[in-house]
Amino acid sequence: MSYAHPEVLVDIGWLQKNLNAPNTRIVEVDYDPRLAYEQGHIPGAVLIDWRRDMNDPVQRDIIGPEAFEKLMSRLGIANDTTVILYGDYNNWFAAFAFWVFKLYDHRDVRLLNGGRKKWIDSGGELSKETPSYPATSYKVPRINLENRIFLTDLLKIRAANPNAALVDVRSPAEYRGEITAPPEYPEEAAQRGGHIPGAVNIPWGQAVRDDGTFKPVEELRQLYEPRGVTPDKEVITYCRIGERASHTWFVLKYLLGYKNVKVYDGSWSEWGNLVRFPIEKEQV
Amino acid sequence: MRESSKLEDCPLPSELFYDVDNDVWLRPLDGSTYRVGVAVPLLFKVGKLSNVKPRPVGTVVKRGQSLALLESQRFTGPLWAPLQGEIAGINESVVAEPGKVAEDPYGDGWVVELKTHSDPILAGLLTGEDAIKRYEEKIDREGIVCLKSYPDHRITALAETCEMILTKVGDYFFKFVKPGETLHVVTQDPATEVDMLKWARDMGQELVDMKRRGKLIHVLYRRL
Repeated sequence: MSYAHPEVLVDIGWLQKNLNAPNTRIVEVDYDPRLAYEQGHIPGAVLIDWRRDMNDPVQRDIIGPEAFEKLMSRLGIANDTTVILYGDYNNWFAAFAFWVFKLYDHRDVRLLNGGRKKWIDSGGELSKETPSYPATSYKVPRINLENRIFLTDLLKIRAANPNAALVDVRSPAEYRGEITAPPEYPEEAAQRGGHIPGAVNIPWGQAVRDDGTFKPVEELRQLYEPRGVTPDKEVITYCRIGERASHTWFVLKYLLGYKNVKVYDGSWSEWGNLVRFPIEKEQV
Repeated sequence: MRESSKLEDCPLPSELFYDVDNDVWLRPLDGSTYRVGVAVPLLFKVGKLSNVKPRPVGTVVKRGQSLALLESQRFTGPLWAPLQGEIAGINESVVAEPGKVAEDPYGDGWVVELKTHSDPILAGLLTGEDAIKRYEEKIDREGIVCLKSYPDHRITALAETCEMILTKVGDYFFKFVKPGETLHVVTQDPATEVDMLKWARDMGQELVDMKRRGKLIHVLYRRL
């Protein structure tokens, strides 16, 4: 069985032979560029710094369409450019960027299977040079909200559709409420620990193998379906601030072909801070 | 507190060759074979390694290709080939126990052996005083600080008041740092060296090291 949408994945071997493919831009997306992109990256790749480039500097939101257009122009990406994203932490932040590209309806965006880790492990060429490309006049064609859900709509679905599946992709310790943020990211904690009532816990990293590539279809099905996360349902993924949830969203939508998957990017740092909202938690 | 020498606790043995930009060292074994490993400043930048995966013996590399995949909790990167050549040997013991790289970085913590016809000096690698001078510049530029022991955890605690900084340190320390492990705290005024020292005393914990670099104070606590 192959993935439902294999066209959104690029493998290492293909990229090694197509580093100079026409009308293509390779983009590294990092949580911490100082320890990743700046230590060496795929030749010709430009950088998206997750914190600086993907988030609105004032309100809590991803960047708006105008900021996205400016970013694309600066990176030399036109509307018809094929964009290949990869990054550190098993493509954690690259998958989030993929979700943002889809929100702004970029036509052809793909993920490098295995990301930064697999590229280096395979002996791929590396460079410390920061390339620059001519600016483009990028225009966001439309805003596509089918992959994103806000709190108010989440509440409506919970009230109206008992058949919706909510997937908490954080670590078991976060799900159980023992910690309010992973130790590496203590800044983004919520007031309360636990999870949204009814959510099942399937940590995002379980979808990838040790080498950083995605597991095959059968293994992925075995991961989600027995837990009630099935293709017929309206599936909503969440984590702490929405990044890890985008990784699982990618797996369900593009690798397994689920028709209706959304990221609740408000995630636990929204829900766990709301007054009088129900929380499930393991009682100690 | 005096501003200590930038390279204090950053050993850089003078008999080795260094590719300073890439934090790689070479030790000549015979005329054409070199041991290659990770220079200490990189370990303080990225943290202790959790995975070392060299490419197979016999792999031919150009300068600037990867000899091995290196990973820590925060980092995924290459061990850059400092010269072109062929991988002639792999240190299986650091593959099995990546922590050994930090324990003995210039000895048993070597990563691969490289067979080469290139000459390190002609290739622009540095040794002795030249390497140290270049490293001083790099450490300044990148804000790397070597401490008396490797940190297991690291937090940046910047806040408006000293109490807020210490609360943040305490929250993290007692939640995530296990006995025997260390926490590297990066902080600045209004916390002072005295406050940081007093915190360890009040909490009954060990202050392993404290260094000031420009505006920042770097403190290393060990949980007892």
